[in-house]
Amino acid sequence: MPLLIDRRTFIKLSMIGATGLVAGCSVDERTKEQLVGLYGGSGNRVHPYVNQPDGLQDGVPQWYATTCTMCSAGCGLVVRTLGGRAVKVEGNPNHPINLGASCARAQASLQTLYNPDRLRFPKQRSSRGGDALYTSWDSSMAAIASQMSSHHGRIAVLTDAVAYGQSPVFHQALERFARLTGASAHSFGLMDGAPWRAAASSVYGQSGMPYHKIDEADYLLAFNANFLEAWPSPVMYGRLFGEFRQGARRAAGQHGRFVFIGPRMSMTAAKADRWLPCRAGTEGAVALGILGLLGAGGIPVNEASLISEVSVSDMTSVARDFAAAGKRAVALGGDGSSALPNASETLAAIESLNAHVGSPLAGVAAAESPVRVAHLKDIQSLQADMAAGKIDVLLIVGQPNPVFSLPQSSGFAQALARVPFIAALSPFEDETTELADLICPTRTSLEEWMDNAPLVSSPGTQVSSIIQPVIDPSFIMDDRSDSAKPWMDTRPILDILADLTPRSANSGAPMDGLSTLRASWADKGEADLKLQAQDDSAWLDTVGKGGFWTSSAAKPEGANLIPPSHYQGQRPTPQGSFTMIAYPQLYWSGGRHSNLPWLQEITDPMTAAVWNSWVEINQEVANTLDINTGDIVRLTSAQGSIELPALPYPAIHPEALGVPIGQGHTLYGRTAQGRGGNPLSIADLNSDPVTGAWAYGLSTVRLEKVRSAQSGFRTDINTLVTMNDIPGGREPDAIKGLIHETAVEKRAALSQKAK
Amino acid sequence: MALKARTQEYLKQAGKPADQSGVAASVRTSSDRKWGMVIDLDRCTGCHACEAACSAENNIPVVGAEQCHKGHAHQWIRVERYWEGNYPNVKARFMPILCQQCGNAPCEPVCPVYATYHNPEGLNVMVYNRCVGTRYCGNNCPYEVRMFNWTEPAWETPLDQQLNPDVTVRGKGVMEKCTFCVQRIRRAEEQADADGRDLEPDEFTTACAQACPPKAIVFGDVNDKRWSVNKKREDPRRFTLLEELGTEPSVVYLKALDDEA
Repeated sequence: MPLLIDRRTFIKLSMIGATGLVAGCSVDERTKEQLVGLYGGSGNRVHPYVNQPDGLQDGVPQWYATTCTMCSAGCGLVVRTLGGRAVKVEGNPNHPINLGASCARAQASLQTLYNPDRLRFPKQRSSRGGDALYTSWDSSMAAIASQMSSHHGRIAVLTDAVAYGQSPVFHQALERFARLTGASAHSFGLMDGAPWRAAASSVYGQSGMPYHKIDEADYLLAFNANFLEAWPSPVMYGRLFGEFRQGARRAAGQHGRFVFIGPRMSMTAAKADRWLPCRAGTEGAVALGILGLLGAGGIPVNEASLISEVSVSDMTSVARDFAAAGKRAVALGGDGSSALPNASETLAAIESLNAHVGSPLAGVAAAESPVRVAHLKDIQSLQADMAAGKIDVLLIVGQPNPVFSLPQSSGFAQALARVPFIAALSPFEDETTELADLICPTRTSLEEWMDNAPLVSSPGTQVSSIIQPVIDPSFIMDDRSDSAKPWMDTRPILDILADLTPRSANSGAPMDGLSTLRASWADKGEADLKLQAQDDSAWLDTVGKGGFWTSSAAKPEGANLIPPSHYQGQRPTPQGSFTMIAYPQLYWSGGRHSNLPWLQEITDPMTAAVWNSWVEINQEVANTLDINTGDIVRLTSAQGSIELPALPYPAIHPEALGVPIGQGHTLYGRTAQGRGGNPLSIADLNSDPVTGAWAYGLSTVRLEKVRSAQSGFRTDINTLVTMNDIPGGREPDAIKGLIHETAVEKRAALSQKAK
Repeated sequence: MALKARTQEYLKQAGKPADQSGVAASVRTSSDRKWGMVIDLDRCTGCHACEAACSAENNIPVVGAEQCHKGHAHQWIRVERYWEGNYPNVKARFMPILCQQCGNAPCEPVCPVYATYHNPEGLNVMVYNRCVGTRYCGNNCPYEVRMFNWTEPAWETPLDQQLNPDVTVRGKGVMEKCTFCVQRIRRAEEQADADGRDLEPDEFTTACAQACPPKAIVFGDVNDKRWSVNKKREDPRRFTLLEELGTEPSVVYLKALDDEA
């Protein structure tokens, strides 16, 4: 841009008219906006930075492709940045997982980046339980390095299974770090794919997360699988669900039928044509009963009906319809059926339904997760080592936050107290970092280099996504201080790991994140990836695109149908007690995202509640117990008790109580802490016997009313706030019959079309 | 008019013919357009991605639990949930509701200061700095989609870094509502204008439609048949919200199909 003009001239010229200006130079979007001065002038005159962020031009958006780590799905993103600030997240239209769509959590990743409660500088605690005081990066890194060198072989690393669990380069760097320092590596997250992978290997003979092409299905049978909400890939399944309803099959005259079997009507269940309530935790019995009806093993339908309370006639009609849909039938498990004490058995029964009808729509995803051990089993082995005094140095990487996620009675916090030195490398302070001696601020995924493999992708599709920094956080200035200085001083986790990994004397400076990533890709067996990483221009293309993906025709899996025929799951709840269903709420994801203001203020889809958590109680049961909306109730389990506002709910099994996971933080910044209650703190520590995965979904609790709701809003009385609720929660007559087409209308429309 | 003159200039440079009015015959101006939206309730999963995307795009303030309790939350688009029936034969239905950009808008004639008016593209536009906060428009809106700023919006450092510079931050005492992402419309128009061409069909979309995982929301120019929104508008499942009021909404809903009703 050769045209340099001062402000006065600029205004004069503007008054003459824009035409005069643009005639003299070639006009493109950039120069035009620079001349028009969308934000008051051309960039290099008004901008305060001496060293500008890369490619900065005022008023001209820069788009960076990256990958979302708000859950394990691994959707591709493009982030719109203006003036070196990230202002909007969109789905990457070319990314095979989400094809341009995004969810509420992806949108809110900006609030993770710009969260006012971020850990800004390294902090050190002189004694456990004392205040953490700011310290320098140099002394922090020196402290960690000296602790590690003097305790070789007695070091453990606990990593975050959500933020880093899907990153091959992270696990490669971690593995190298662990090998050279004699550390043991563990990872923890709430939602666990282990039972599903175990079920896939028993049914399909191939370990991996199952993938279901629901867009091509005519009949969808979900067993407490909230696939449109939290896990395993909500945007991908949301996209496929739209096609299932109104896509190619609809054009062919089909309107897919969707039946949901589960104890509570979730958002996903609300989209079903039929919701069949079952007793909490008996999804496996229903699947086995249907297998029995289809003559494919299973258990007798009468027994299944007795266990689950789903009627024999309902199961019979489901079995008939499922078999009739044949190769266009899909049975789906999901987060609800993965968090059961018989999760592997349940999921194997569900996948056996697919195998029985020979559904080509169910298969095993190509990607294999770098983390293969069930999270609970992994963290329990770490806990045992810590309690036995075998660990002298513990590094907590990211936000695994087991102190929040595990019940207090698990003894994890007590085991932590036995570790002489704990350092946390995390973007936030939480309940677990509170117990650390040293806390160092790391970056969020919008500020660092990393790669990502999606948890689930269609068979035959290989996806390697790139995570790149979309802004430079050193340009976030502290506007409250007199001298302009960065608001925070954070470091990328790959750089920290490289710094802490012992080096031989002749090797140079430790590698930064970008070179670690490129070296890791160049090291791979796959020739395509190698090529991307080695050639500079190919690499730039790959980064610009957001990653590298190939698609090939998938080999159909030979299903190995030995359907399970035993049921070892939940039995009827003892009289007088309830089964608490702790479910991952679709925004807060196990509690990690409850510090994001947008995700607190967006209404929960089913309850319209905001800024709190609640207990869903069957409406009839609530009436019997004289419990009304907003009354405070106490849930007591063998592990402890929590008090929460009650929410009489029209669509939950009478023996079940639904509690969303995510609130109840005691220490996680002003947005998250002191709201609602944490059902995981009173959850039973049962686990799936096959994999050791935590059955956090089911716990036996007692319910009692503490006090009635009080009018007005007060945080100390735990006021339940719900929005948009029609008085009485009923559909007004004006809208009734309007927002959905009845079966009669539908048949009429279809016959019209046929004519 | 600078915009048209510039267009002519570009076209001349590109060697394309211009008609006598100074505008190429093929180039439509913004007043030829009418923006509309279709929301397919059969596709909608109720996931609220549209709400989050809208908050991010339009600098919508977070007001906190206490203000939400007073009914002062800001939701330019909200997803309503309606219960039907009783356990166990119970249904829940979702319906995203946003400003319907009425052709005959009840909010417009009651504004004493012309802060809300009908623009040539069929949008109900808010001129924020005219608004004196009478809230008459909010009272008169049958869809309850107008939000009033009861408090001064605040973004604590560094949350303010996220604010979209294309969208005005509204102050206390000002009414606000969905704009059909007018800033996106203008950006796309300026780009097309700079390129000396008409807007391409489906060239851009609103923040809610862009995020929507099941592609339930489709936005476009209903006067230009090439936009995919028009085909959807002809679906026999179509209805408009509170049609009997005669507000002529620009948002068309498509009924969800129900096998079991």
